[in-house]
Amino acid sequence: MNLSFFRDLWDFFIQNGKKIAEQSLVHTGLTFFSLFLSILVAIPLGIYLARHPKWANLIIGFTGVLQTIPSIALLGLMIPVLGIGIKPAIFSLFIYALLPILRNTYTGITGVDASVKEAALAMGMKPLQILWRVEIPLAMPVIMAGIRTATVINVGVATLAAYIGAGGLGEFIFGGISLNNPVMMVGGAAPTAGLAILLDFLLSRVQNFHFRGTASRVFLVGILFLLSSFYFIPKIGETKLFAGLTPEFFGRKDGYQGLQSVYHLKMSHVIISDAIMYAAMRDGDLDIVSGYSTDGRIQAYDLVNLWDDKQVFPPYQAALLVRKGVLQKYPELEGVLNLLAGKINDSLMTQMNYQVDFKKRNPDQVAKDFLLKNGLYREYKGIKKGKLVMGSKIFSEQYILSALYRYLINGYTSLELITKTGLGGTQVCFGALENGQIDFYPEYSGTGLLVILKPTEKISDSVSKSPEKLYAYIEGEFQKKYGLKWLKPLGFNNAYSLIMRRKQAEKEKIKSISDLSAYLLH
Amino acid sequence: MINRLVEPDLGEIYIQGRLNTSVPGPDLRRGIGYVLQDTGLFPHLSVAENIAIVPRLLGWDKERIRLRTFSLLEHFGLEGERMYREFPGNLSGGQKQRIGFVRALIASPPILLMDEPFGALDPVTRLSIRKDFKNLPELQDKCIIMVTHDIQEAFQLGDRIILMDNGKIQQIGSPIQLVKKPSNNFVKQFLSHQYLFLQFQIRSLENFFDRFFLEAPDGIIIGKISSLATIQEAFENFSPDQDLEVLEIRNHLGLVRFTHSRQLLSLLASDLQ
Repeated sequence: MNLSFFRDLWDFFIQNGKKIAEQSLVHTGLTFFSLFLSILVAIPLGIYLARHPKWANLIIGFTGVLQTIPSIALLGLMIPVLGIGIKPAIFSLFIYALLPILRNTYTGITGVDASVKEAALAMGMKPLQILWRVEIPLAMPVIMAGIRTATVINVGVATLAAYIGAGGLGEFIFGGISLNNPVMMVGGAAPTAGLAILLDFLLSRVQNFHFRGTASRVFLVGILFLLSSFYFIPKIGETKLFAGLTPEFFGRKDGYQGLQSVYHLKMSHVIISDAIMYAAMRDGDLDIVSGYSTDGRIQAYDLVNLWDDKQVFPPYQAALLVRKGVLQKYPELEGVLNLLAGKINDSLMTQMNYQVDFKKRNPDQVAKDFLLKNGLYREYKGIKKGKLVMGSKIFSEQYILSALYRYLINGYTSLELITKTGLGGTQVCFGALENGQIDFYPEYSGTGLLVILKPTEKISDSVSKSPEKLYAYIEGEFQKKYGLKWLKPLGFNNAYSLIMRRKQAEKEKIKSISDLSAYLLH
Repeated sequence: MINRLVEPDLGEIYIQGRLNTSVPGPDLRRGIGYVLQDTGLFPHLSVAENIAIVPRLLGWDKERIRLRTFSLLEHFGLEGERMYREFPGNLSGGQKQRIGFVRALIASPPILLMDEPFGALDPVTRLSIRKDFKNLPELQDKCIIMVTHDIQEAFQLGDRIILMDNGKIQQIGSPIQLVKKPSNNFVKQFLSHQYLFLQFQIRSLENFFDRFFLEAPDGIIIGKISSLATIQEAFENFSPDQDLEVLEIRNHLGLVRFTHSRQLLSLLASDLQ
């Protein structure tokens, strides 16, 4: 980290001040509303358990088990029941806040000195008077400590709410991760940490303040309500259809920003993780999501890609990126690698992804079936004389592609193909290719342009107009800059896509993004 | 069991002619003062608030509670605003137990239950609190039930003693009855260890009037003592330079002096033979 990082961070805060403030309020609201629910449940329950200790271990143990469920898993589990957005987020946070408050209430109440309780009883206090005037005040420091713990936990876990479209400061953090933008990550993480410290500090002041009389208790509950209510600031301008956008799509110029400026598209949306947005789509919690055009879930959930009629999304044609040295060393190689060129269209790729992601079939098997069907499968009888290494990124489509090429190389040539699958993202694969650890890997033309070449905006806008133009541009540039060769495109285009449910799209006669924009305006 | 913190398995307890189960527990307890060994003061409330608990439950007004609190605190030697606002955590053991007494007495309950109230105190503090307690004017018309393991304390304070062993009553009676007519071997054995001490506590100055030379006052009289005072109390009040005027109700009877100690002891010893 250097000085320019902090300057960028400062600029980020200046530019996004309003958004950060809004998300901080949402974050605070999420934290406190769930905390409020937890307090309502855990304190009476803790008191009950202090009176019936034989249940205590069981119940407190159970909340402990709930605590160990990974946050993302819990949020995911809630989707089918509570949908996306605020409800599952608050429910999950509620679950996480239960244990500290429950345990501390129980410990606090059972820890009240027996002689003090005896004295209270002997002086003629009734059970409720003993509870309110003796036990709760004496247990209060311990209970407050539990509430403080729960608050800090909740501020942290609430960042994950961004995954399921409930907003909060997590939007910056996950956006930053998806866009590989450290400034944005820290821009979300720093206010989150600040919020945790601030709230803990404020609660410590509350803890030291002696609450006397009903008025101050009512005041305290009022404050809690107010903080909770930040979440419910009405969201204006709801549109007919509701969209879920990934943080990456939302943040990129060739994503949502492009749609807004070119199509004048305005839609109510939440930021959501792509891991759960398809399920939310299926369940009807979302009407539109931003995905990838060859995703297997499009077939699985009977969804449809909208046509990008004004070509905002740059083409993402898949093709092999190969080191020139290997092609020269093994002249027969290029022909074999080009056997698949133009053979796989969008729907074939979607289908294969579907087979792997949903039918849980082995990528090898799916690849072999494809080759057999297209008469490309062959066995090689001779002795292997050399080795090639192929890399792939870490998702199903790339696993299928590496399996396809393994069958081809092993079946057609005297070379043996070793696959290094799951090499993370673009940077990892490209780095490995540059320093010779792998010989080739499948890449997408748009990624080659925007992630690797990073030309000026003017150039990228002009070359992205058509797939052919883009391909010609990157082919030349890679040759010049890196000595790498793009082989012929495979035929499919794994680009950004807006996706709707097929039935809804047909009913509303929405085929393209222009149709969608027009539909939403009326 | 008397204030129903514990319910009896068998039998009945009558308080002023009424079955104690005929009143709801809390109401019953508000009319019975209770002093615990480890004070049971509420650490989160100030001294004043601790003391005011029962009167508040009974619905007294603030001024009445305040006046009564001040007069009792004064009697127990705890004066001043500072004490009034103090929290129990900042007090000494003796101060806390004094507050415990004030809290039990504040609403003038006709009955007082005391569970080893002096047990956890050092001997000096114990004596001084015991004295303050005994000298309370309103104590005369109260029924006080005290549990103690200290037999001397029982003889010193008790009008009737119930000696218990293994959960069974061994004897009920006045101190004199217990010493003179032990009902069984256990009582006899139990008291024999401290026979002389107990004599100090059951005999009063009065018992020795006829055999005692009482001088007329000859100038400065420093202390006064009732003719009903026990020998122990006389000894406790003796000092080399102090004459005590012996009074029967208000009438002057004579003087006792430090130099009389030997005579008193020999008289007591000759009585025992």
